[in-house]
Parts: sequence; C-alpha cells; structure tokens
Amino acid sequence: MNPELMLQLDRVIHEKGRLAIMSLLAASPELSFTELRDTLNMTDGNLTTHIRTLQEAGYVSVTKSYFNKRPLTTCALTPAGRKAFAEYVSMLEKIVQQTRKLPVK
Amino acid sequence: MKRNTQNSKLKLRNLVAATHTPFRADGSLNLSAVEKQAAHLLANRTVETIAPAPGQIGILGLDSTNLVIFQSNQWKSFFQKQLAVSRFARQSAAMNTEWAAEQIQTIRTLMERSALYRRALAPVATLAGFLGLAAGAGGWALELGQPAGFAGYWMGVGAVTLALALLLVRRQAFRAAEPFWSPPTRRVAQAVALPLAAGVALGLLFIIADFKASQLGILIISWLLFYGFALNAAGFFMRRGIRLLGWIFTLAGLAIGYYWVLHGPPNILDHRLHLFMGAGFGGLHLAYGIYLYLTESKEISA
Repeated sequence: MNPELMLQLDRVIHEKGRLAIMSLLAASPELSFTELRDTLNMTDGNLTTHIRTLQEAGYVSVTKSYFNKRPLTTCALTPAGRKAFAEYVSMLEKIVQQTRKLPVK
Repeated sequence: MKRNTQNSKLKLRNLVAATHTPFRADGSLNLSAVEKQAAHLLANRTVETIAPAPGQIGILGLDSTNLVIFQSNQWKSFFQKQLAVSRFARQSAAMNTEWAAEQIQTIRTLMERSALYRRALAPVATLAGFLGLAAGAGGWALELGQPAGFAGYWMGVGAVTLALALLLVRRQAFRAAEPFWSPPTRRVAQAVALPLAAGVALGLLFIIADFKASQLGILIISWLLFYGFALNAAGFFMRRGIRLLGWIFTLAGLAIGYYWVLHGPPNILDHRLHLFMGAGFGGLHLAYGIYLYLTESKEISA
C-alpha cells in the first residue's frame, strides 16, 4: 500500500470526534447542537471544541437563532466541508482498494 | 530517485528492486551472480540498499522461515532483515486496510443514524390507538351508517389524530431544544404524503358521490392499503418496526379485499362497521404503542 495515502488524509477530519460530526452533518442539511450531542454522546464542551475546530477550518457553519424563545444552535457543512469529507471518504476507499490489490505472499 | 547533478550519475535512494534475477543456462538460479551484481552496485554507489524485488520473494521462496537460497551468512542475515521489513509492511498495510474499512463502516452508520427520525413514537402510537378505539365506539353509538357519513367521520378522526400526534412530536422537540420541522421530520412527511393524500382524495370522493353501503369495502380496503404504504415508506427513515406495521396494515387490507370479493360484503355494513374500523386502526396502533413502551426507552438509551 502506498503510505502516502495515509499522509494525505485530512488531519482536521481525521480525529474520531470530528469525523463523527462531519458524518452526521453529511447526511443531513443541518443538525442542532443538541441533536449532535445526544447522537454522539459527547459533552457540551467536547462538542463545542470540535465544532470550533471544524468552523475554523471552514468545514462547518454555525447558526444561532431562537426556537420558542429558546436559543437554538444549528450546524451545517459548508461546501468546502462537504468537498473535504467526500475526499476523505474517497481516500479511505483508495486505501482499502489498494491493499486488496496487493498480491498474497 | 534522485539524480546527482555533480557527477551526472544516477543515484537511487531507499529500497529499490534488483534489476533482474540471474539464472544459469540450465534454468537454475545463479546465486553467485546476485552477490556479484550487488557488490558491483554497492561499490559504484549506484544504490545504497539492496533487497529482493517483491516478485523475487515469491520466485525464490523467501516466505519460508529458513532462508536457504543464499549461501553467504552475511547475505542471509541481510535478506532476512529485509524480509522482516517486508512482512511488517504487509501487516501494516493489512492493519491500515482494516482500519480504513472500519472507518468507512462507522461513517456509513453515523450517516444512516443522522437521517433517522428520532422522536419517541410510543406516545404517538398509543394516542392513535386510544383515539381509534374511542372513535370506533363513538361511531357505533352514533349509528353513523351512511357511506358519506362514514367517510367524513373517519377522515375527521384521522385529522384530529394527526394534529394531536404533531403536537406531541412538537412538544418532544421543544423539550429537547431541537427544531420541530427537522430534516428527518421533513423526510418522513415527504414519504407519507403521497399515500395519505390518495387516501384523503378517495375519502372525499365517498363524501361527494353517492356510494352504496356495500361499496364501503373499497374505501376501507384502500385506506388500509394506503396507510400501510405510508408507514412502509416512512419506515425507511424511522426505526422501531414501522415498516412491519405498514406490512401488517397492507396485508390486512388485502385479506379483507380477498374476503370481500370471494365471499361478498360482510353483514356488518351498518353502524357496526365503526367497531371494525376502531378495532382495526385503533387496536393495531395501541398494540404497537404498548410494544414501543416496553422496548423504546431501552433502545434510545442504547
């Protein structure tokens, strides 16, 4: 297998928690902070840190609004985030495919 | 590879494959040539490290634990080390593949979970069950026997049930500080929209047109089928056996349809038909709601 592929994996997405957040957001136009937190069983602080990292990378946009007079924070993938996620998954698939092609010794 | 610009000689770095596998004229391996060739390459510093090419590993049988093809102990030790490196690289590659495959599976699971409708369904199903049973008893007590009255009454029951169910769902969303009209909710609504609209349209037809009581079977069977289709479609975005319930409604509709056609209309084509509707729609929902109450909290917390 070409070790270069492993090095090409996006470090921002590569972290387990952030990959989970990106995966959930990739399947939904937007998700609230509480939906993400409950689905992933993360603490508020942990989720906030990961979202901030993704936001700084330009992968996630955060919208703050009000729902029934209560604050509502929703997260969504940006076009850059969607592209980065697709590339990450594509790279994983390449790793799997390349190793499967190796001859059995 | 890196080209040395000072002496214009090609200089290869890292691990490179040997140029060829030397054989004698009779087809046997010429091991002395291997050593000579390696010594030549090293002496001329064309390469810094020599190892058998991947193809040669197979050809020369280096996978055996005893490396017998090289006479020189020095070379044997050297190639054994390279073989260990090769094995490590293959194991490492296998681990990476396993890891990558697991990552893909995790991503797939999370994406599916994200698309799922997560509101608790037990209260909704139980509410629909009680309302259905109560409506059945009410229709029977009111002796609503006309096809138009029957259709209008049960469409009203359906509308009230839907409105209360939406209020329950909205309350759940409010308590969880989540938006009510979330993407999964929209997907479920889109999935059930067509079959439910077809059911409503057919019901309206029974209200405005002059149907006979014996033709009510068309309406009941169609409602059962449409409702089953709606639940089955919604089940692709929900958990907890919704699709199974859809199949039960659809099969019930088909069974009644077959019975109606083969044996003629049943002799309950008066206000007793409401008891049948209440037991059918209400009873099934109530049973499903009880099943959810017994299992849902366990699954949500899992």
